Amino acid sequence: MDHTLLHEMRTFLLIAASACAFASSATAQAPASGPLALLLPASTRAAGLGNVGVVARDESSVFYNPAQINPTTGFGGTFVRYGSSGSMGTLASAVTVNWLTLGWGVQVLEFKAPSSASYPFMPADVVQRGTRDAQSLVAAAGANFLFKGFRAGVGAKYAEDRVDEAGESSTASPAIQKRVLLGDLGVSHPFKSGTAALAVQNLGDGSRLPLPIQTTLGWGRQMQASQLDLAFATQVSMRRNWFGAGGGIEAGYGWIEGWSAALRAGAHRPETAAQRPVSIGGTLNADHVVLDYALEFFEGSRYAHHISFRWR
Amino acid sequence: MTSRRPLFRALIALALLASCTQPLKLAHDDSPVVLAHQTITAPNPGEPGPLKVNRLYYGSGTDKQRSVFRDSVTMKTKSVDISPYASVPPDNANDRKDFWGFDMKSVPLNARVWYPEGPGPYPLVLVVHGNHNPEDFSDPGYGYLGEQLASRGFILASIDENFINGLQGENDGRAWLLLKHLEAWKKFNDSTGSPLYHRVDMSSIALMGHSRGGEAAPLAATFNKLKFYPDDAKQKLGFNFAIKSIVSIAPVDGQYKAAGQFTPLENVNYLVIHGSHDGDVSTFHGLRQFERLKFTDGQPWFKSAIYMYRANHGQWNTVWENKDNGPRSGRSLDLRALISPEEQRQFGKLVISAFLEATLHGKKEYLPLFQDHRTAGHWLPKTMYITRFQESGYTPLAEYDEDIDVTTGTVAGVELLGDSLATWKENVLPYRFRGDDQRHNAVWLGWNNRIAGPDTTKLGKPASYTITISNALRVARKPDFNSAIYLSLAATNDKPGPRAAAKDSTKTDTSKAGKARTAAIADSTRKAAERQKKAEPDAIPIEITVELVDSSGHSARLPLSRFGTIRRPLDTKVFRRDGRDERLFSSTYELVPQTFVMPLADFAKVAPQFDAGRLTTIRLLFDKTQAATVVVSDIGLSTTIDPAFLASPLP
Repeated sequence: MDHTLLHEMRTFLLIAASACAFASSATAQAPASGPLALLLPASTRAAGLGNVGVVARDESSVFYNPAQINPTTGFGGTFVRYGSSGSMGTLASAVTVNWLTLGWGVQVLEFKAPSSASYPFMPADVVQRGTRDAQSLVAAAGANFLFKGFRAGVGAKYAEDRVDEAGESSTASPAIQKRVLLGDLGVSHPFKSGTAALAVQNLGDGSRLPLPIQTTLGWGRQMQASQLDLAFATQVSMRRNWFGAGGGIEAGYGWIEGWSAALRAGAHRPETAAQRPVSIGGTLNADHVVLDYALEFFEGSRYAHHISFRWR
Repeated sequence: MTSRRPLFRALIALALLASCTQPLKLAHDDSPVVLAHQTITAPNPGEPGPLKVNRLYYGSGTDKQRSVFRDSVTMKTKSVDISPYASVPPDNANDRKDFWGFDMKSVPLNARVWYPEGPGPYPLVLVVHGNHNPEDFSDPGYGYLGEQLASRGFILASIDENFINGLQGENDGRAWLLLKHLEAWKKFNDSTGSPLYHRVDMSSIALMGHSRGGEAAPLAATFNKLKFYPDDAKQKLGFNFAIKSIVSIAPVDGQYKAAGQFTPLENVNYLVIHGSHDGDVSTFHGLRQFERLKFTDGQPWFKSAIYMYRANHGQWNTVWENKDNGPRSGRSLDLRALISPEEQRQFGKLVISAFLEATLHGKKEYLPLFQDHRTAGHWLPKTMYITRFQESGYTPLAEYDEDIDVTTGTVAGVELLGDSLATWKENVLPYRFRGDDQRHNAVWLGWNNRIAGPDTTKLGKPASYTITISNALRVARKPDFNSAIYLSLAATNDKPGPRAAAKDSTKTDTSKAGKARTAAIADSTRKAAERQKKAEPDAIPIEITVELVDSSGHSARLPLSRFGTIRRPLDTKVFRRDGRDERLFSSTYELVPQTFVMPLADFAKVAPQFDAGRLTTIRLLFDKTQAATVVVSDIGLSTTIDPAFLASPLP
């Protein structure tokens, strides 16, 4: 193993360990906030890397960090199955026009909210099989540009939660509909042979619904180690009364031009005890087709399966 | 049953993987026949010579990355400012300076040297690498040439230009740096304290370069004769070293253009070698250098180009090896097709040694190798070669560049005439790379001697192509018994359909039966043409008769294959993925015409009444192969060819 790789791994582990140590000393459970779709991984790759998305540079960055929005070739979408009743679809796209990169995306979640769960829902609620029909939606748009070596981005989001009534009796839970307009800011810069990124997300009026306003700082890089393609990503996130951290590693191998596979694993501090801190995933590139998969673990042997398809 | 499932799945996975690779496909190897003879009787120049080899390093003595250029330098050199010729992008400048410890204003003159033990003086050969990962140092990769050449009485210095690798548009800088090294060598040779004092023959210098270095070496020879740098006359050149020979190994060409022009080159001996399976410079760009080199001063120069089947780009350098497309070349390139590195380098040692022995040591016994490689059949690694050749006695008759009239030659007094040809057109010689060409023209000649119709044995008059030389031109050129005719020719995969039967205009058969017969012939012609299109390329060797006629009508005929190998296209698949070559290249082979040098004396031997001094006609008779298409270029005459080139004819 060469010295560069050892050095990179040491940097990555140092950042990840510091983040986790700092995070574990903070509040045990994240305070409830919404809309729910804002709290769920929008990218399959990020989901497999411990939901570390602030440094990823693709279309899905419109949900994580507008400074990192970047078009990739082709088109595709993401489908997520939560437990036995929840499902989410995500579409995102981006384009570069002269010096400006523009991106947009939509994330739609449908699930059966458990009647025991109180609103705002937590991420682990989507894997429960409840009785109330619930939807959560995020429509996001963003743009970024390069200025003196820094990539700066700005984004806007419309987010909405809807929960139907639970029944017709007098004890039935009433229907809920919450809509918010949010703003994101981001910046990124090459750092230590990789990229460091900072995002401030979900800025908005929290008077009607507590918003997950958060500041995230991350670093990631990709590198070649002999025949392997390695990627590391780590981030720390701060909300009011909550500090999260996560990191992931990916190893890819291509055996012939156009065909490759990658495995990834991530760990993050879960927002509730019902979420497990570990996630795993993988990618298969087969010429024009890119298939991504990630698996999140929840309490009670429940899972979230993320699948993305892209045609290049 | 369940135990079969893993096997079944494995088979499916294998089938899936196999579906996107292609089977190894190589052209039929004719080397057992073509390389069956060895008519040069001199010692094998590919073997080490008798001299003991010493090694040393020279350089800055302060190198941050290479201990040999820091701790082991025998002679210290001053740094030079290469910034007028090579620049680093601003966003990359700090990283590069951090790594190397210097910027473009003070680059070192570092080199590894192999030199013979003995008083000398020995000819000096500089070799320079091309572009590669700057941190994977390329200069040690020519040690095999250093050992070889030093043992044969040459000093070889492998120049360090790693610090300008990874830049763009810097080949002029590479060339200029070579000339600065020559300045350093002049000092080494002139300084009494130098271990090489008066041991360097500065009147016999060769420059050798690989890849981008292969453009830099001839460019240095051009800069050597200029007073000022063409892109900025504030920079003085005026080196004027005695550069006699250039070797370009798998060179690029045209990455640097002085004043927007491809670099002119003249009056130097030149050898270019290139591999068919080059996964980096995948087209024979050195042919353009070969064509541009002109001999104008009446001195005995020559140039040779050798195309080696199954050789790649990197195996000429022991550091680069088979990584033509980077460290993961095995994913994209079909490495199975490559000749072994040892054989490829043995070829390099052989031809480079022979070339330098001939041009710097004056050992003429090696000259026939460059005129017809079959003369060294036992020395050459067993693969296929195509050679181009020209010496300074050559004068053109038809090079096809001058105009768009297919009946006129390059000089006044030459008339060209095709007879019974299915294809007769002039065009620029294409390169395998889409949209790229050799900047040199040729004539395409296609024929099918079969007459269309149900009788498949019915043949017409053989097609022919005739070059007629006027009396005035013959008197001016003065061909004689010692002269030689030049012709370069490559076969293509195209095969015209049968020719239409000659019409008798006096008899028009308007009867029903006559019309039916005419329709049947037309139908047969169409079907035959379709069959030809669908058919696999013909593997049968092409044969052509060369007929020379004197002004008295006496003719002499010899088969063209007597003077060289008439090659079918050498099918080349560089990439692993099926269809990748077809997508990237316009053709799966490089069109490299083989040069045939035909002594007039050989024709006079078979037809004593033929008078070479009164030569009026050169005719290509397509009488031995029923149908084919060939590309012909560079038809010419040499009246002053050195007999040494023709001294080892095949039996």
